[in-house]
Amino acid sequence: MPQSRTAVTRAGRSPGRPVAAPTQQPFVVALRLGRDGPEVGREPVTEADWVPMHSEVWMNALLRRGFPGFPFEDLVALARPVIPDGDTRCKQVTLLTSDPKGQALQVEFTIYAFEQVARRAMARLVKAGRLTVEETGQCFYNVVLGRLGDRAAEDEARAGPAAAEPFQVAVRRQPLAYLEKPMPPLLARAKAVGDVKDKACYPVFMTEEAYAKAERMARRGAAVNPPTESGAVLVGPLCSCPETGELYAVVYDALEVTDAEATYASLLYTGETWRRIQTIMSARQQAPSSRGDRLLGEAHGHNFLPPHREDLSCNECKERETCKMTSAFVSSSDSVFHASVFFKQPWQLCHIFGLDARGKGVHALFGQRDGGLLSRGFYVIPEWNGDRR
Amino acid sequence: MRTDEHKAGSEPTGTGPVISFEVTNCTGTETVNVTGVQTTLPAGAVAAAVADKMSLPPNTPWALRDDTQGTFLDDDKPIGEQVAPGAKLTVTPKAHLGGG
Repeated sequence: MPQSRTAVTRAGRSPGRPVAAPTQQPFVVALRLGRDGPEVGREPVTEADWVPMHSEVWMNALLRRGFPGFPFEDLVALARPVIPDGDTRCKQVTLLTSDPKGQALQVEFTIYAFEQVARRAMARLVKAGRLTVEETGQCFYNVVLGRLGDRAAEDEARAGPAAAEPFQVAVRRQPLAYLEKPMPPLLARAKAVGDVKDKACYPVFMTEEAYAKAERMARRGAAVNPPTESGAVLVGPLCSCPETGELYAVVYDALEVTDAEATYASLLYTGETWRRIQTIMSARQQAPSSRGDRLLGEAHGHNFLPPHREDLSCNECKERETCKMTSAFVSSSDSVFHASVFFKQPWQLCHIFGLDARGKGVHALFGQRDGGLLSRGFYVIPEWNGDRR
Repeated sequence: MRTDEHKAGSEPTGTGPVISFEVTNCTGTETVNVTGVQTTLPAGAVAAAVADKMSLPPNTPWALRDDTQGTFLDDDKPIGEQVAPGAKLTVTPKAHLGGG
């Protein structure tokens, strides 16, 4: 997935830009076999599919602009397709909202934000025998407006798994827990790691201790024979800066993922893993000194070498000064895990510790952007005193 | 949306006994009260329905986990055989991390 930006901007038509009004027409993902090949199926973009994008609008248009108490449930975001003249396919989708002061704002998304919908379409078509697993590797997708033209998918989308269950689910509204702390003192003693100038990314601070713990826990599996994956959850508060209105995160601890089912290239949290994490987090949230603590994300190791790529001159490795091949990437499993565990949490972080082709340790931090997880920078700080200050 | 506080308990209805319990997501950011669940429903079907009503990602299969014991409920067994009235459960994705 290419890197892209989802910065918030004030709403308004940019000159020369193809735009349309917010639409009442349903968005669907059209799946094609080959870039310009035949359409093999359509999948509805459901209410749940919009939630990750809505959560980014909430984050960028409200939480990061001095409205940290604004409830997600109160967010109203209208979708406006961006369709070039003479085309039927969306180039982008713009979500329009307004803040409590009436300022209109917009956040733009590329069609990569709909990748999970395309994956669901492929899975459904494979299950129905209308697409082979091999063919899924040749699929492309577009986002279009209109009906599905596929009765089975339409019925499935309309029914949903809950339609036949006669019980009630009442959501308890929980305001976002955050601390009010000025950010400039942290910035004054912070050291940047990676690109921290991208305004589309909210500021993330990580203490030296948490960083070291996360790396140690993520790489612990490399020492096991045979090597396995290992990891940690990243813990700390969300903070709102009273001076700038910016929302930021402080990762000041890492809890090791224990009792997990780990293999060479997978890490499964078991019931016992979750029980331990939740017991610790519950205790911390009840203590005054750590009341703002939450799970901000996770770190894990890809303790394997990147694949050998002849097309990328791997055969000439010894002659090259540097190597850009790395196993510190977000896999499709990582994406699904994050989209599920950190659903509606646009501050989520995924820190991956991997290796380059020469076995040297490399790492990358990823955050939610454009509906997926994209590489981002962060700050390292010596320590965090939190509420004890 | 509203906040409902129910007295947890199992009670008979015209369609058989039902139970109520509380379900939280993995990270503890969202909690729902689930009421009127027929005890004969398979736990897996209840997990799917709860996930749908919480608007959780439809691409992922979901399971319910008993917070006290840390164990996952058996998807195929009736929920009434595995959950006590008023239990605290976590809806957990059947998903793993990893480069594989």
